[in-house]
Amino acid sequence: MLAHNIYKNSQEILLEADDLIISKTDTRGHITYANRTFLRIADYQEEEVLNKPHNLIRHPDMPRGVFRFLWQELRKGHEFFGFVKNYTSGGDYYWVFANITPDFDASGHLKGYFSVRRRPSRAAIDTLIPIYNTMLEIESRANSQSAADHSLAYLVQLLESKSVSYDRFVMTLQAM
Amino acid sequence: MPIKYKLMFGLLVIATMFATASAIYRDVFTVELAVILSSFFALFFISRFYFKPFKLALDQLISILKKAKKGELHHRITHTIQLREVASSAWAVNEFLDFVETYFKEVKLCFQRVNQSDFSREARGTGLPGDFANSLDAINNAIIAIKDNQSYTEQNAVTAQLHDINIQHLRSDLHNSEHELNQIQHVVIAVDEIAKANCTQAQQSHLAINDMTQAMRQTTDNISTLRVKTQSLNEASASVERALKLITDIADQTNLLALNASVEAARAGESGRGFAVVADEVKNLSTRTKDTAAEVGNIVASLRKQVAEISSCTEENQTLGFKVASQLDDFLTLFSTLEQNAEQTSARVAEAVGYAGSAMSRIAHVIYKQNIYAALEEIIKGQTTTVSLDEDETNIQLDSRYEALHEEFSQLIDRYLTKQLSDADLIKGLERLESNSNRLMQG
Ligand SMILES: Cc1cc2nc3c(=O)[nH]c(=O)nc-3n(C[C@H](O)[C@H](O)[C@H](O)COP(=O)(O)O)c2cc1C
Repeated sequence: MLAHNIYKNSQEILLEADDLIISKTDTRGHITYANRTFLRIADYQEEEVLNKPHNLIRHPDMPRGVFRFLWQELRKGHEFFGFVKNYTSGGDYYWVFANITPDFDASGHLKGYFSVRRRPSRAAIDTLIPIYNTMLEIESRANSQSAADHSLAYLVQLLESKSVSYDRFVMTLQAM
Repeated sequence: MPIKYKLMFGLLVIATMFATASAIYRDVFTVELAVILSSFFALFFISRFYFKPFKLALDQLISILKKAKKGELHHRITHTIQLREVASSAWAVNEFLDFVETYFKEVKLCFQRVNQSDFSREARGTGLPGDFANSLDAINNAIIAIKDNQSYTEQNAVTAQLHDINIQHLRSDLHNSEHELNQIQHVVIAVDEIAKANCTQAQQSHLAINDMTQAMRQTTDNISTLRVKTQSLNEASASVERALKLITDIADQTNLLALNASVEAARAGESGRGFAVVADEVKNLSTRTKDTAAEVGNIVASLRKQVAEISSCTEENQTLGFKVASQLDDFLTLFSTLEQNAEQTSARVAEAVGYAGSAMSRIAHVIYKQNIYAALEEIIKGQTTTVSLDEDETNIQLDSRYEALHEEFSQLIDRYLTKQLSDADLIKGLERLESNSNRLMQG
């Protein structure tokens, strides 16, 4: 909420069709690499992001339930797809269609995570914003410990009621 | 930096320091020498600060490319600010590796899912350069083809399963229908028996009524004879009464005569004495005759009264008799209609029994064919067949035409099983027999 007050004139930065934002993190989610597209769009110098936690660009409009799900999937060794709203260093924001995958070395040990983000479908964002808003509302009513669980439970139930898996849901949205 | 350059630099520095020291010592430190020396130092520092980033970048590039060559695509050059002018080369290598790594990840991840029969995850080529993107598109097409193939295979498996279930149930359903039809036939036969019993009873009733009508006719005839007889009895009574009157008259006259005779006898005195006795006797006789005639007259009168009663009774009976006779006639027509109805019912029931019988034959025939197909399918699939081809299974007395056809079917199958017929021959033979079967079932 604080962020809203700080950045009153937050502008949306739109990605180009072939923009590919890539970053890597260590196992804790600390950035170990960010490509130039990342740096250009998020408006950072490389040195400013290296070794920083990835929530550096976290936007308060993103429900915590989504990140709870993200980490759940990554811990299971699954890849995660999702629509994420991020902050630039200057307080603007940009939407991405993100794919995050765990990286394993030859012996199967987790080395870190790899993330590729692409331009999201506009229709997908329009569909998701009300869902994310409901999740945020649920989170604001719950206590901070259980907030993410509650809003994630809402999302899971919503998808169940549509009998669609999360993956299928986001991929269909991106294809819209 | 290779060691020989380091040595050269070291020697140069030592030589310069040595030259400077000796120059100072000998006091020959000239401007020229200072220039030469300072250019040496300048060269040294330039090489150290200008070439160092190049060297650093080059070292990193080489090491990263070597690792990439070994298959480790995840290394990148970071802290590029240190590389200054060379940074863009480092980024070029980084971004190339980004593409390659993204490409391989996409390929790996979507095939991982394809392996688990999940075809929903496309390989995403957006943002990758042309060749990479094209290659991923090709992979996506291949995945669609795999998916189609799999769903086709699955479809086949599913339709085969559906077919199996259908056939199994078809056969048991047919058996049930056959059983039901059999029961219907039994019921219909029972109905037929009832109808026949009704018919015989109606016939018997008909006969009974005939007898009754006969008896009734006899009765009415008797009654009319009785009436005639009563009439003549009446008439006879009347003539008896007339005769009695005559007798009474004669008795009266005789009495008078006796009276006269006794008067005459009295007048004749003694000589007439015997005659008086006779006259008395005659008088007595006439009185007795009169009394008897009166008695008989009373009897006849009461007889006539009774005859009159009988007569009216007979009359009533006759009308009653006519009524009953006409009612019996009605019954007679009723029973003959009943008899006709029963005969018709019987005829229709016989028809129904016939239909049920031929339907049963047909169903038994269909079951026989289904069994053949099921057995063939199992044999072709290499399973041991559980289906019985035994005809007796159905317990139905089959029409001889069906029996002949079944014989043909079983010969065909035998020849196929003993490899005298090819698959195509089998199919052709089955088609021929099916068309015979079709004709038979429609006929
Ligand atoms: C490879 C990788 C990339 C990530 N990218 C983002 C991102 O772009 N935006 C973001 O808000 N969180 C991202 N996250 C999630 C963050 O690590 C963090 O969980 C999230 O911002 C929520 O912050 P919090 O955990 O402090 O609540 C990423 C995580 C990983 C492992």
